Amino acid sequence: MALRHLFEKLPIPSLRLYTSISSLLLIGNLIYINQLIQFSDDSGHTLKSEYNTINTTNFETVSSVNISETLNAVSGTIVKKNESISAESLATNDPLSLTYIQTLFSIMISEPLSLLILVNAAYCALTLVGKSIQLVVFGTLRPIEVQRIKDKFWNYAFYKFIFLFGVLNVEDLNDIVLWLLWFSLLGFLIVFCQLCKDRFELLSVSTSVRSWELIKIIGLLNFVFCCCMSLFGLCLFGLNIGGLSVFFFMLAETVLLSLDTVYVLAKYCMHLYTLQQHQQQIASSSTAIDNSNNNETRLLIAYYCEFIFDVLTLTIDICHHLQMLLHCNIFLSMASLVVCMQLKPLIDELMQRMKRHNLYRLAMSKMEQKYPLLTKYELEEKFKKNRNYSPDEVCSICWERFEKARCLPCGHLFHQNCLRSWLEQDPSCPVCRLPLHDETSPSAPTTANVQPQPAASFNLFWPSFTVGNNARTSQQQQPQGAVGNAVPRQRNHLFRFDGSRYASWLPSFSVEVTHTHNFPFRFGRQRLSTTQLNTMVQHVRQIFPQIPNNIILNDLQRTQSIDSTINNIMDRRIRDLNILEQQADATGNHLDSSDTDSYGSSSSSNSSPSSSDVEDSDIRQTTNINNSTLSELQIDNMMNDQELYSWPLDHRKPFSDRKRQLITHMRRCYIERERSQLQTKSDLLSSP
Amino acid sequence: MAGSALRRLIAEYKQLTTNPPDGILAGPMSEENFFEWEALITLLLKSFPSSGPSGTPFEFGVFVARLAFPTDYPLSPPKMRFTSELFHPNIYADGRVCISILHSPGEDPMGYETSAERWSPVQSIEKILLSVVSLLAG
Repeated sequence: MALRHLFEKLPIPSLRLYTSISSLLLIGNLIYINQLIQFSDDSGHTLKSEYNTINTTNFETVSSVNISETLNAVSGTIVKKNESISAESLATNDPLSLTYIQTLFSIMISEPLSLLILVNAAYCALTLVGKSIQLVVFGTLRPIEVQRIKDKFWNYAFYKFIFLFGVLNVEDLNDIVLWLLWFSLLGFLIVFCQLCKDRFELLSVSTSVRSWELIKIIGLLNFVFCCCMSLFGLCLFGLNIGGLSVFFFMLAETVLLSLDTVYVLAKYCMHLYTLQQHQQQIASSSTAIDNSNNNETRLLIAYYCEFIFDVLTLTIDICHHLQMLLHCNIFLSMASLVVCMQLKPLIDELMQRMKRHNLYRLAMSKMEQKYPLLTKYELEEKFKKNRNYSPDEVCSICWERFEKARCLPCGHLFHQNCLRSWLEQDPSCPVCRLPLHDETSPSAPTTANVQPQPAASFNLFWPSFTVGNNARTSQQQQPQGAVGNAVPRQRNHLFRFDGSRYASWLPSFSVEVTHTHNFPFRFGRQRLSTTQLNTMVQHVRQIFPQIPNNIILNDLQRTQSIDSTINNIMDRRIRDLNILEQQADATGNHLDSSDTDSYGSSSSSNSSPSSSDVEDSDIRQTTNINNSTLSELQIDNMMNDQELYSWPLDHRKPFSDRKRQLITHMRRCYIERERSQLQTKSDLLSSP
Repeated sequence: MAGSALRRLIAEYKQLTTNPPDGILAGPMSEENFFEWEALITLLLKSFPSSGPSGTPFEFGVFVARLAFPTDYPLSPPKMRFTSELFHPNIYADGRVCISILHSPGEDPMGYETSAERWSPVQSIEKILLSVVSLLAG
């Protein structure tokens, strides 16, 4: 959203500051009210006149009329309240008694200012609770998760704001407070649901998941679900207060949230189950047969659950939005525009989901009809007949062995699920690319169908309101830094009103709303720790052993990336380095003249032409080092500490070690080559 | 589902470490995220005797690339991007590699490639890296 950038610029105080400020406010408020009560006990009847005098002094001293007006109002309510309190004021002497707290609370609620302070304190408490739950369950969040939560939160706040003031038109302060309470509870749960969802993405791609992490999150999700159940109770409360429409508003949101929670919960449980099964398999490694059978049915069930969930959530959401649209009778208000803007992508999504399901069913039925399912026995028969196949044959899509297989007309075998998910994408054999177009049905399913139409425009209320829904999928538009796993897609909604087409005095404007889907595995530019920096320095030192650590470290702190530091060194963009090099050159020349190495002086004269021959930048860079900075001594050192290099590299070593080994080997090869070339050249020069 | 993709990636990693092709090193960047790989590509003329006496300017270079796999991995191709600077007609300035087997399946919108040249789940990381090597050596 474009709004997001605005929100990011807002100075949001840190949690600690916020907590201290709101607790201070609360304490001040409590003391103030306490004073009031004590005061009313002592002299209940003279209060009114005293307040009047205070007010008059205020009128004299405070120049701003606004402040005195609010004071007036505040004192008015206090006076009213005091009159009611004075009857029961006898019991309020003990500050810990129940009635005392009750009166305190009732004064707080009746007074707008202290009510706001109270609400603020409640928010603060909620944030603190949320923060502690986050720390316990998730640990520190990844930057991408923080970013997503922020996005979600601001979007949520924006649309709820629109809902409150555009759709419901709430004016009473108490109503607003009640709604805010509801939304904050809901938002609190939504944030946790979203966090669990994001964390699942991380967990599902990693190989080192411990099951207690999963169990912790499952526990949290259960808690969220219980909260959802109590929210249903609150919905009934809303039915009592605000009538049926309010009830439905609240119900829709609660149902959406609980559906979401159940779905995420199911995903986690499934993941936990597969994880444990996997561990069992490793332990026993024998129960493969019924396992694969289970797999097929489980995948089928999972698919249908997902489908039903998607369709259900989308329809409920659409109904919710339609209700909003109907609730605010004024169709041409800003709020209805925003609601329509939300509604359009929802409907689009539902259509796409249906289309995808159609593709799925088509592929499924086609497979059932045309490609025979071979059982294990039939497979063995086939392997016996055909020498090309061995019983160890694996499915070329998932690289796992067959228990049952579907056979394509070309004779290639695949798992049922693997084949189906491929046929949804492309109607051809993955191995031999034999086209499998169905002659009877002319519309071959391709991926192009799944993409939304480039621009759908419909006439909404006014002929010139066009809603464009551009799904940018082409490669050029992807940001270059994004190495995303999910299909990165940006959706733009463009509202344009071209008034000049109707009357010359009408203005033209356009509103563009962008939903950004963040890429789950982006390389965030977060600050690096010193250990990370040190390892990065080590990396750079591998390439430039001659450059001192501190210079590299300085530059790395600035650039935060190995590549750019290397580039800086290559392009001589580091000032300290230049000074250093000049010194090195001076001493190097001195050494050269006195050097009695076998090809000491000739090397310095010959190496420059040889380097200009080489056009490639990468090699030129290495040559530069060779020319200017790498002394012969260092090269000799490098050649001497020959590690035992043999291909393939020892696979028991960690990846980083193997990487380093390969790089040093290649560098050695390069230097050897350069030396031999120089040798031959100097030989040529010296021979005539 | 990410589960089968993960299993396939683990299988490929096993194969690539125990029996790697000449001069190619590839592996996941961290255990936390198995869908983000780093690959080191080197060219030694010994492995390409046919490319002529003059050799290639990329000889002796070590080129680092990053591979990002989608969650439905063998069905959609990974994205490959060189992090080291490389001057080659098939490599964009930002390091993306233009090679037909990395293009997602389906018909080419430009009508230039047939669908047979594009990604298929039969391809593997090893095959991708070998094609890139031959692209650089050719």
